[in-house]
Amino acid sequence: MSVLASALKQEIPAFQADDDTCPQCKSERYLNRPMKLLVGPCYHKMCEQCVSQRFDAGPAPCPVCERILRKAEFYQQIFEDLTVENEVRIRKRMAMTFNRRQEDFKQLKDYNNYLEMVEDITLKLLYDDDTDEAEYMIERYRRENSSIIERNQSKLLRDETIQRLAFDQEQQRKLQQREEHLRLLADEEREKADIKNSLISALATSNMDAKDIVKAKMVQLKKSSLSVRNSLRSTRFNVDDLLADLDDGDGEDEDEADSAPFDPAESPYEPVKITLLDRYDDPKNNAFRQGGLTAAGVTREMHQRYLIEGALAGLFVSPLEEDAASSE
Amino acid sequence: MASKAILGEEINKETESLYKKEKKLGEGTYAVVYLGHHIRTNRKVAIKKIKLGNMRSGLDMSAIREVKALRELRHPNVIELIDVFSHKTNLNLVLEFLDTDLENVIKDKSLVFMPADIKSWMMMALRGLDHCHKCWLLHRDLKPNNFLIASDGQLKLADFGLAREFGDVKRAMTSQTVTRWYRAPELLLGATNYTGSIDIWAMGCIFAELSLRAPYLPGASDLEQLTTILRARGTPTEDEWPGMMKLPTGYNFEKFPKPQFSDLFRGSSEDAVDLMNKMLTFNPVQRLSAADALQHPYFRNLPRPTAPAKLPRPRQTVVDEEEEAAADANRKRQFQEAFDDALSATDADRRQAVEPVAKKMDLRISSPA
Repeated sequence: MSVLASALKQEIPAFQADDDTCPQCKSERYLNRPMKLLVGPCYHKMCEQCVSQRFDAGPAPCPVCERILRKAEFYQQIFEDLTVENEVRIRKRMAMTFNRRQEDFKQLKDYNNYLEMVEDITLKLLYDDDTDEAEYMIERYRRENSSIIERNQSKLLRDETIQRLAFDQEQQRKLQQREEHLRLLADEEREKADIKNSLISALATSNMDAKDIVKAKMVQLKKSSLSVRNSLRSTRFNVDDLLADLDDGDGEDEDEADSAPFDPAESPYEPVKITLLDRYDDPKNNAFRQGGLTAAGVTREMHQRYLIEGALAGLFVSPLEEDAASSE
Repeated sequence: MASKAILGEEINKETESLYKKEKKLGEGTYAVVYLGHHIRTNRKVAIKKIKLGNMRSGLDMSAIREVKALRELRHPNVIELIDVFSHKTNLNLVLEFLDTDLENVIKDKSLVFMPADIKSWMMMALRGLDHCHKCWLLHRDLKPNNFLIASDGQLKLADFGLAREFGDVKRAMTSQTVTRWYRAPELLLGATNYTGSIDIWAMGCIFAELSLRAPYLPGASDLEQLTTILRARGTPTEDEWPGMMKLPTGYNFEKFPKPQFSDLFRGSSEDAVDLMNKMLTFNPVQRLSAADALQHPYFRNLPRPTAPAKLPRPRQTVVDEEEEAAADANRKRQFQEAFDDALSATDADRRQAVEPVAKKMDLRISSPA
């Protein structure tokens, strides 16, 4: 949903190629970066300057096909392939008039027939056979169904507004979440600074042993940062809940499996439970002395874990279980 | 001794008789893969026949590596080695049959990926890789076409032909490994001892490739690969990657600025780009491990990863080809029978008429009875 909304909001950039050349004044994109190539209704290209030179004074013939064109009819190309551009424009135009939806029909068959008719007219326009007839049919349809067209247009407008509102809301929520997060972090910083200051003043004035004072303050510090972190976590969960609510509200089918708890790091194996010491003395091993190993990611800690796990790994496997599994 | 050898042979024969080879699926440089099935359970399997060549250098190194690694591993996201048996001088690996791979999925432009799909693939891939690393095994050839996809959508790590154990600092390893586009910078700088972080770099490249639907760091040659990486990721400073100059072929790199990653990965969410950056960190010590990557908020944030069965799959063109091949073989057999009839006749005239046709169609010409 949000993808759709953002697509609605974002402007689609016009198509540009590095080797663009205006067929009229022959100026190239290489020399004239900001050049805008426009396309007229007859699908001949011209740069913006040429267009204003030729058409500022009123309608004039296209230099290629001599069709009479106006300045307002020129637009920026979006697709590289002009036949695609043409088809998109024709279909857009058709959709403005032929905007009936499936719910307007009693039977699916009628709707399909209607779609078939629309497609027939579109193809006539696309392949230039019987354009006049197609135009006539469009006009006739418009006259006969003007009330339905109007009604569906207002429906479409309403749908778009709803989507846009939902998108705005989502943006708003994201912003709020971010502000909340920043605020909590700032709080934590401030609290830390406070404790530090009071520690210094306590050390300066109190008669107690310095070690005891420091210890007490450290406990306090740990507690405060823990509480901030917890509240951070709870806000994260709340946001997730809100987002889930939003999805539900849209009527999208939520799977049961989606709401079940899951662990990204799920594994069929129990992790090997070995606690390594901080330091092992290994006087014969001088591999780490030269450096260069760590730059490739090999650390002393990893190497020691490898050795210890290698020595102890077999202790955690029960051979009987393995046999039972393989005989199955 | 003798009785032991005989027992071994018997077991080998018994294993071989459990499976039936059907048709050839594909051929690589060192192996031919056949489709087959387990006779009793009718389970589909892939039988990988290792070519031994002329036995000059003994058994292929990658065959040994593959058997050694797969015997150690059993995980839902790692291909299962069901059995091994020898036939005459060939070694046969009986592997789980998987019908497509991630490369096919990426290349099939008719498929549309949702962010949740990419998350699901990444999660399965990292689970499989994490298991390998927990067993102290490096895969060393991660790329989309080595991630096979089962019929139920499960992603499975396959092709352990370059896999080896890591962790021992005293044993040097080759830096000439991993397909170029997925090769980590420390390998390009000639490191002879490395860790799971080289696989994570490749995973990061695959993550980017899934988002872009195109290879992320496609260097044209081994020399250019490093430049491609530096250009895409920005040249690291000595602070970011301490000791990089001490690596065997470290040199003063051309300085490239860090680009805005979110510009290139517009379709990806913020947490996805963050995870990608952490998997593509230059300093291998700081690069996330597979286990840490799975703990990244990306996997817990919405959207939830897609259930494997619901992931997009390429259309089954492979099956059509197989069926066609089967039909071809069938036709050929019918011709063969007809020709055999004709050729069994001693009539010299008939033989002469038939032989050139048989040759043209690549049929066996039996000598007259």
